[in-house]
Amino acid sequence: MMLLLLLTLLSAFGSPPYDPVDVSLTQLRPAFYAAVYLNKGSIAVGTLTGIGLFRRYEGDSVWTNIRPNTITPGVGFASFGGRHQLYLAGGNGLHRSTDGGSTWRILTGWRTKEVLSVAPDPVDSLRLYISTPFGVYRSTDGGGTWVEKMKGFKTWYVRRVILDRVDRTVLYATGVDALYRSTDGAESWEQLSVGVPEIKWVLQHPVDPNLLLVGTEDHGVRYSTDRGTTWKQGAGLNTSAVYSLASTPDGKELYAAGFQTGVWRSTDLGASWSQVWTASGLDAIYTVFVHPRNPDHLMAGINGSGVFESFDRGRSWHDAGLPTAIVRQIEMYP
Amino acid sequence: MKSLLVFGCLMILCVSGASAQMVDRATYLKEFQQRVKYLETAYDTSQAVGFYQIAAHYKLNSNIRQADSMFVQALKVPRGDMFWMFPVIGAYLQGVDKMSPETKAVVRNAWKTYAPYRGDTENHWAMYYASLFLAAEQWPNLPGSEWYNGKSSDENREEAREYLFDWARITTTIGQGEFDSPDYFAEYAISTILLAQFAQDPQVKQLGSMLSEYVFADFAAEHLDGQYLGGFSRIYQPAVYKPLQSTASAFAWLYFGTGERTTSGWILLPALSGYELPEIIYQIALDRSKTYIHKERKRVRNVIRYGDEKNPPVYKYTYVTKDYGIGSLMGGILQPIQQHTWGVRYTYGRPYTTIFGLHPYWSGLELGMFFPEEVKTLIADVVASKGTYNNPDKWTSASPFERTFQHKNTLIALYDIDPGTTAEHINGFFPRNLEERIVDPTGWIVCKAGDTYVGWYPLQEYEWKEELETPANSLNDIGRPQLERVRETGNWRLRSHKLQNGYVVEVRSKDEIGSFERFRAALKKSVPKRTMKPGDVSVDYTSIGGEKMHFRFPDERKLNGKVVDLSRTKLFEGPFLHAEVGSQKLTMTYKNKKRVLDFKTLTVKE
Repeated sequence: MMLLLLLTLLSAFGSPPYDPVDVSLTQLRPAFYAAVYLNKGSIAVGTLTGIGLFRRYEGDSVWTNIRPNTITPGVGFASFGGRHQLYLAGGNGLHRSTDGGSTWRILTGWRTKEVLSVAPDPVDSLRLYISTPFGVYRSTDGGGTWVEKMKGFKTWYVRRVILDRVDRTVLYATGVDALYRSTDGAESWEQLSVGVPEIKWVLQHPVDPNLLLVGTEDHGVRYSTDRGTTWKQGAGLNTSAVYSLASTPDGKELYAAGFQTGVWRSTDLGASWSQVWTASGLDAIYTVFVHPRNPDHLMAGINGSGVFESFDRGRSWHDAGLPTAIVRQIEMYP
Repeated sequence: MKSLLVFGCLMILCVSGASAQMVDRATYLKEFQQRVKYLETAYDTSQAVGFYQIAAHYKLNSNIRQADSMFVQALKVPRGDMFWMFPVIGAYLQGVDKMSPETKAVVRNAWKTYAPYRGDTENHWAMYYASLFLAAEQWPNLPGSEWYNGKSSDENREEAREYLFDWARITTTIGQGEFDSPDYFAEYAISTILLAQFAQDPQVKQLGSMLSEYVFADFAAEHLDGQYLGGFSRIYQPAVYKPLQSTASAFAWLYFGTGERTTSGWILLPALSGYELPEIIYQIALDRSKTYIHKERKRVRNVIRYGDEKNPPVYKYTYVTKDYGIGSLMGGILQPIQQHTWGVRYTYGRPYTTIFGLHPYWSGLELGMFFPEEVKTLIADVVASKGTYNNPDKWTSASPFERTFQHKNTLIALYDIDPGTTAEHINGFFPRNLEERIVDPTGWIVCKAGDTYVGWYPLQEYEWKEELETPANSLNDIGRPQLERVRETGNWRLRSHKLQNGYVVEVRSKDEIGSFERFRAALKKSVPKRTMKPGDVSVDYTSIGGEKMHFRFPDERKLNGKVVDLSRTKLFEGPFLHAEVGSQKLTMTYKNKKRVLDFKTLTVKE
């Protein structure tokens, strides 16, 4: 009976054989995680410092480097049966920690090269998706092996891949020429007619799964209310590069990170946008983050200037650390 | 004191390789060992704390306790990623049977706690995986918890092994991506030599040995007097205009006996390793008794976006004599940032032994083809480490608006530059130490560099600018101003601001054409006919050798009325090296000798 239970648990959790002792989810303090791609202070290979994944516990002000020395464009999380998995999408590959960031294992090998984003399946712990400059890869054995999944793609570079919140067989991937969608777990992909190339980010609305929004290189934000079939231009934000989008948990307020144009907000589901922070004197806002339990609390990851933070829905901002860091993604977990 | 005396004697014995003559094997090996000894002694007597000094102490069995102490000290704050990995494992392998158990433990622990970045270029990966393979062999059967990446010794060894074999497969089927780089030759040579000397896996050891020969043979066929002959995928300033300052030239001194004596750290680990170059490669590098044409096919570094092909081919053409070599890539964006599309290099007038031209181009789109960062921020990111990238005066560059057509010792370069492009001019480098730089009334710029004569016919109006290599414009190897560099008298920059542009270059030696005056007279009779309109840039030219060349930008090349089909170029094609595309086989030939590297069977046949 015990053996059966153990096998059932292993199947449910899908714990692969390589990881160190897991730390349960309840043992993790809520924290912010910042993916530092590079650091302006040490940008040449061989001199890299101050890069990797940084963690700041909620209520603290200090960021701690928990995985140094790999360029880190992305971070991801998954929880299964009270266990947690932290993922770091990095130059050395996809890293995973199951002990709260104390130790890490690189799951990918030499074939996958740099990993730009990770999308763990929230139900099947063995199923993972990553995007890389050479395409989308899928693992169905917890990261032990990876298979390139690019049928239907016309270009290689994929900045970001996400899973549909409702249907786990549906994925969205941001390509150089289009937004791509798969309806069969990445076996094949189709182009969605966003109308502009260079899709940098895709966000599925937290309440209405039919509402998709994309950030683009030169055309601001575009949105679709029919899950990608038709697209409209977000008014007010139609020329800037938008590298990241975020939403309040109730989906009533949406935020966009603009290249040299600061942070933008939409209160009408992406139809129109207004600038809430000019970020004067700062370079690209690479990422914008909304606290999942406190919509007043925003963060922005800046190119070469670390993290800025607002506690009043973007009206005022202050420097929140990691000076000179190029911050590509900020997330909170758990 | 004794070692200093030895060092002094070696300095006297170890003559500079200037005008090196080919010697028999016994003499070569004797002189090679003298050079090795010179390097060993230099590092063994050095007071600096570094992995190379540590390696030398271990190798020479001197100061073992000090070496142990230095090793522990040097590992306290690991830094340098793959540039840390190879000297650490290199020093460790020199001392593994001599160092204390405590020192061994410190080294072992470093591979557990320091996570080196794998990097993003071919040379990074060569260093990373060669070092990781050797380390995994040194510490077998350890679980993932004992390694920085969470993978077990077996997993690390197998991943590294697999990558190294795949790298060899790609290199020997469609060519290297980071090819013919005078400044990155070292990274490949060190990685492969360490594998050849220290790998326990016999297949990897053999692979390392064969890859070492492969990269050295590649260099040897385009070597002249310590210099790599261009074009190149990557080269830094100042090595692009002071050729002997490249690391490849340090290897040329050690292994070919040419160039200038050096204590460059890049050659220390190879010198300590005991690796000896096969005689045939040395002979290929040295024998310039006959003029020859050498062609190569390489590949573009991985294109991740804004391109239809992941690894388009690169065609290289080199003409080599005993006095000079002129070599070219066909132009276009073949490698970002540091491409050297074409150049003449000669044996006269160190250190400025070259003449070349380029379009100094930079753009986010170019970088975005190869790097995954956002295009709008890429230029700033690159400039932070490669300070010359967006400098209109830079001396290295790839450009989509540049193409070349070379036949023997005649080269045509054409440019059709879009308005608004960075930059809207082309540059030519003419060194200050030319004996003659005459502007003939026909338009030819006629130069004399010892027994090498260079004619340059600008197809548009231009201006001259004398440039001092002052602190303001003298840049070190990572493109940043180097304040301590000595002020020197000027080299000459030819600059032309016309967007539709080009030039014809003729090179001859005294042996080929006789006197400088005769060369000048020949040029007077050979004036190109050109069309210089946007979208219609072409030249028709009959070389002083009587060959009719037609070249229309970008890629219409005709020689004596026949279309030149670059796509038929083999991986290696010349009197010394031959390799078919896809063959995984390189045949080296010298007189009646033949040596075949067969990477499919991992065998060497003579």
